[in-house]
Amino acid sequence: MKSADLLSLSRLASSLGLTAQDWQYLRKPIITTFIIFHLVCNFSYLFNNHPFFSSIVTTVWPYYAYLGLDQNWGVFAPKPREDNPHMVAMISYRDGSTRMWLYPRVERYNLFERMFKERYRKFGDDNTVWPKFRLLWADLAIYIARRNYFDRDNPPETVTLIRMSRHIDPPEIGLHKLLNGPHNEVDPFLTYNVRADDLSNLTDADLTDNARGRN
Amino acid sequence: MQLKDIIAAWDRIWFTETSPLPLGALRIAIGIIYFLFGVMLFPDRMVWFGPDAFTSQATTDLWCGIHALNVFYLYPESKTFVDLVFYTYIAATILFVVGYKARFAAFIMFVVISSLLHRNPFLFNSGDTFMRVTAFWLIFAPSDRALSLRNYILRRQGRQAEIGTGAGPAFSDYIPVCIWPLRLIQLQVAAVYCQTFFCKVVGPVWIEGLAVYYSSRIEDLQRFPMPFVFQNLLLIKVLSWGTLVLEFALWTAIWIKEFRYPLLAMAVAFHIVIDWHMNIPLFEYLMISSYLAFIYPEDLASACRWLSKKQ
Repeated sequence: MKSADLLSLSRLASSLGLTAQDWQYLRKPIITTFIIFHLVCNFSYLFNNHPFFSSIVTTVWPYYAYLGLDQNWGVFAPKPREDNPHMVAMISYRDGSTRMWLYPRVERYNLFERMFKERYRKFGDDNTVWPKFRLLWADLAIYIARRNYFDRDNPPETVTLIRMSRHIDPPEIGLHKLLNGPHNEVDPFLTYNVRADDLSNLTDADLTDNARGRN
Repeated sequence: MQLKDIIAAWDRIWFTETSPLPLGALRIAIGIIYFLFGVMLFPDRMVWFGPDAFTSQATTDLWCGIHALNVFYLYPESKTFVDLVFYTYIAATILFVVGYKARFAAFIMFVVISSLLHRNPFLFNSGDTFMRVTAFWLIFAPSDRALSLRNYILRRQGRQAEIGTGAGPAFSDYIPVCIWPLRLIQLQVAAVYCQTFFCKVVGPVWIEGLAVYYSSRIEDLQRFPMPFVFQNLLLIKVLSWGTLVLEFALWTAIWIKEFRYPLLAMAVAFHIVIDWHMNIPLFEYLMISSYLAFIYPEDLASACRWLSKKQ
């Protein structure tokens, strides 16, 4: 009973009304159960392509997902992304005018800014622009509408999200080129009709901040 | 083999006592990365997690399919609460790095990172996942028993007996701790490489040796160029297959003492090369820091003595 971690766990045990001997007796079974349970959870989740492991994941999912212990390490697997995308949005206003909004392009920032803006790359280029994440598109369009609302008399009416991309050339063509060409594949993937309640709780100060580019 | 032999082996793997020094070193290195994680998210916190964020909580809940651990449910419309969550997180990481109430700090860190995930999971990468699950294991790890403010305070109070025996050279006389939390962290690192190996090895692009070609052409990931390397097909294939071999070794051969340090050295070089070329700000340093869990305590103690003599 000399180990330091045991000292603090013993204190916890005694606060629960257990004597040092009780804790000595219970310690290994409790910790072993904890370890085995989590090892089984992790193994089953990581290799859940077998029906047996899949059923274990289903059973433990409420605990596992609630805490956020789900994990996946398929970095560049089974293959790296084969497209270079970026996203723009076209906002049309009540008076018929339009405005282009550019989602941050991380590759155009300097090295320092890139470190802080990397999340935009993950959110946009890896995730949101692709059909798998269509559930997010309406939220994104609302966000853009709210940020591009400047005048009470001329609110945004539609937001069109557009994916601009270019497929990475296969090695036979692209081996000696380090930079991809322009993103000239254009895919408007959502046109969202802005509703009045999407813009309802914006104050005049918010509109002023929008106009000044603060938001 | 008898049942008692299996129980003895289990005891040896999970319940051996060891120096807290690897956990202490890991705490400092990885704690700095937890701190930077918060600092780097801070400027855009409202864009990602605020009431008017890119994604609403309702959409995220629909995506996740579960009402998960998430402190943002408490005050979903409050920007001040988002600020408070971030300030609390950053304070916890500072406590963690200096080594005072480290388990409590790890608990706060875990709850906040998990909440951020469940508020907006679409901006997080594998490094963030590693931070989240490792924070969970760190809740159970007595990581402030070495190289810590806790020890400094105890020493100032004349309670040396709660830190170490005083017998033996510096950094080698800590009161031992049970090894199981450290083992869980080691297994977590091994699990990363194990699953990524199996995910990759089923992909034809990896088997053909072309994965590095494609990953080097992803524009938004590029940091510094490596012109010759990524324009030579043979080198590209060697790097692609080498990645698979190294990732395989990092969950198998790493458990063999003679292979451990050469493998870790290769893995450090591997991650530094990736960091040179790719803009994934914390991931590579996170993995490199996690290797401290694999350093033998006596070697870490020697390194600490060498460093303290240098000062």
